[in-house]
Amino acid sequence: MTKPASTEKVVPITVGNPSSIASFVIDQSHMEEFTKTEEEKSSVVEVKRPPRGTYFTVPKEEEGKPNSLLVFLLELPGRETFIVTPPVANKHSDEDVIRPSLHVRYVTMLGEEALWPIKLDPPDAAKPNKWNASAKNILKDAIGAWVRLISKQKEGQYRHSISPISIEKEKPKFSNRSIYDLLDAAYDKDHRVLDDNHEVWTILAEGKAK
Amino acid sequence: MSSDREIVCSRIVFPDSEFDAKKGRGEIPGFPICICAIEIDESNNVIKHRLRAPYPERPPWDQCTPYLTVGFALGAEAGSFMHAFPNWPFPSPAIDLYAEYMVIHNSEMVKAAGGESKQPGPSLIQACRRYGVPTMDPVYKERMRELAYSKTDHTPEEISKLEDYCLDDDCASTLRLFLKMLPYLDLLRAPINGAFMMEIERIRWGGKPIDMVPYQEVKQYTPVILPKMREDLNRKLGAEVYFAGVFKRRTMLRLMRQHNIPIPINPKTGKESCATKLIKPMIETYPLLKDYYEDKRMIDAIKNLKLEIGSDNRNRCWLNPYGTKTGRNNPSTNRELLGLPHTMRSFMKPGPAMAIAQVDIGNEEIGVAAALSGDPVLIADYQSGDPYRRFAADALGVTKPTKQQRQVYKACVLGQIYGVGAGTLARNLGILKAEARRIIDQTNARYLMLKAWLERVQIKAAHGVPITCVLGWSLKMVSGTPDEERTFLNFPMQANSAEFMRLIIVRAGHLPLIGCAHDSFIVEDTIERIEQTVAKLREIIRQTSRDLFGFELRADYNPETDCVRYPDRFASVRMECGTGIGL
Repeated sequence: MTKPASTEKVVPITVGNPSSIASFVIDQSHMEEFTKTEEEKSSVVEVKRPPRGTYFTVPKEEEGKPNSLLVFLLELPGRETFIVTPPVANKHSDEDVIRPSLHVRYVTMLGEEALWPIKLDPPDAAKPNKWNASAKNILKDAIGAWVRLISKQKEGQYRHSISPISIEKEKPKFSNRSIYDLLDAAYDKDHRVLDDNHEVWTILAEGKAK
Repeated sequence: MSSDREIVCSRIVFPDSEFDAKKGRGEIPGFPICICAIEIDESNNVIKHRLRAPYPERPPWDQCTPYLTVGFALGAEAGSFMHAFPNWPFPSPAIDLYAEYMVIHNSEMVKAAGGESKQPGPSLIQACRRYGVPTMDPVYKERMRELAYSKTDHTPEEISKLEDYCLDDDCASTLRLFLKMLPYLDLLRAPINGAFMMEIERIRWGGKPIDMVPYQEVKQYTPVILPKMREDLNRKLGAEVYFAGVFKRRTMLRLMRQHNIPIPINPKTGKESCATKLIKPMIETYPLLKDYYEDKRMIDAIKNLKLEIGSDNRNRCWLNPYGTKTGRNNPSTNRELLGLPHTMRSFMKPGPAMAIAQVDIGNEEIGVAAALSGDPVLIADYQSGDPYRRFAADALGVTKPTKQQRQVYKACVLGQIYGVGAGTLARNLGILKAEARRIIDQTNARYLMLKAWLERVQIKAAHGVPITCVLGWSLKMVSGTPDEERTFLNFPMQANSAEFMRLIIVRAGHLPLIGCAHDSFIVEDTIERIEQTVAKLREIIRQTSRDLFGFELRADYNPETDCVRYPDRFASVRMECGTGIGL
């Protein structure tokens, strides 16, 4: 958005296009921010899809610094989500509540850093899920550029729009933390299933925890 | 370079026009005597345009390259454009400095009005003064207005005089004001407000067709009808709540005590009250209050009936956009048909071969609360079609809750959004306080995320942080009184609903919209086309809710009850009296 610096030179002037409303919507998650202290904010990492109408970017992958991690999620409807270690996930591979997910690091133009969980198709899927496939394709374009997601419900997939503002002009504000740190912050010890002594197995076996 | 998201304007045009506004008469404003504009071109040169009848097909500044239109209360110019350039679409992008003033100074205007209501919107002169912009002498402005309004056969000299005033005063003041306001403008979203201000004028122009025979009868026989209605109410209640034509509040309160009906407390005054808006939640519990509520509202409405109706028998009234602190329109409650009780919408009747239809946003505030809070249970309840019935059914363990049970849970859910405590809820519903407490606990337990979200909004507001809506409308707490805290509980729902309404109006500019209330839209079209028009409007509403809230709100319409075709008259499903006012 450019505003004239003085009254001497008032044109050209850039204004919003009223036909492109979706990209102007002020994300209402700002309501959430105020109650968290700065310290809390920095220790909390959300696992969520990039917000609608918000441009985000994904860092380049470097040696020893991946920009995404493959994890196994255990999701019980109505309960929290847990991360399961690969050996445990392998051991319980017959459980359909465990699914592989690619957690991708991203930061929005507003400086919010988070992990984008992209579900991966199960090996026995009859056909590829278009949402998952399109999300993975968009990742490639999101490296080195500001992009935003557009959900095309009718097509059953994501499209994306690339901002004319380059990442050189609007530098992404990634934190100094590694993706492993972010994953740790997103899933604390109470949300990790490291072995068979976790209450989720009781819930799955008996319907509720003891 | 322009993108889909932004438009780079190489020129700015500041138009203004002189015409007889025919204020307060329900008429379409007069044909423009002149339309003038100051244009700042690509090289920052100032070009002055003077136009008078006969007007060209399109104004000379529209050269098919992007330019920005800036005005103050652009609705007036929209009217002149519709007269002078009937086939020319409204200019876009456009910025209305009146609308932007209302956006920027909302909190300040609410504070100046004492926190309860809001100061009226400024005139151009007042806005200029607020920003320290040199502007015209009000006496001179009044003289020029008088010249424009007093006649229709202006001499060429008089038109030149009006052009000078239009260019050198109105256009020039708007240009200076724009430069002063520029650092405060949200240039990304301001064009939405600009488009809305022009489209709302198009709606006003359309006007609502009034069946003049019954309307005149009601007006003519008001001196006869009113005493009868008052007597009728006295008879129904078995008490003289009207004595010598005057409403006796104390008698009504005494009557309520006699019938063991709890008396609501006005949250603003802290005193007992029988105001109809406080009585409304109780009418399903106490049949006596239902009679009182419906008849009292009708008596008040008929007593003050002053619809602004033009010579073509259509009701046109200024909709007072951004007139409330939530950003909703605030039209007169006795001059605008949609400001009257729903029953009175039966004055509306389509002409030959025409039809009128109404589309409502179903349970709008609950839908918006569900979307904003992200509460999964509230979302599911909203999507069930009747959130209150579903909650009542689950809470009571029944499949079909009664109307009264539904009403109790509805009052409780809405009460949480309005910050109603157990005491007030118990009084309003005529239930024990412990029972009210239990239902509130049920509500909080069911909608955990909603409760947490409402608390966060209040904390944020209490710290003086502006609460900002999806398109930038905001309000900041100024005094921190309990009443003001309650305002902020409901503000996100009402103000985001207002943003929603504005965007729907902008997007439905090509449809024959003739009226809009907070959560309903009225279209008029030929009998053949009406269903098609309604379908388009409903899709616009649904798409707009998806765009703004990422969640689809319902666009309710029942062809049997929400559409009326000539020769029938309009009958809202929400009419309290069933047969309207006995027309």
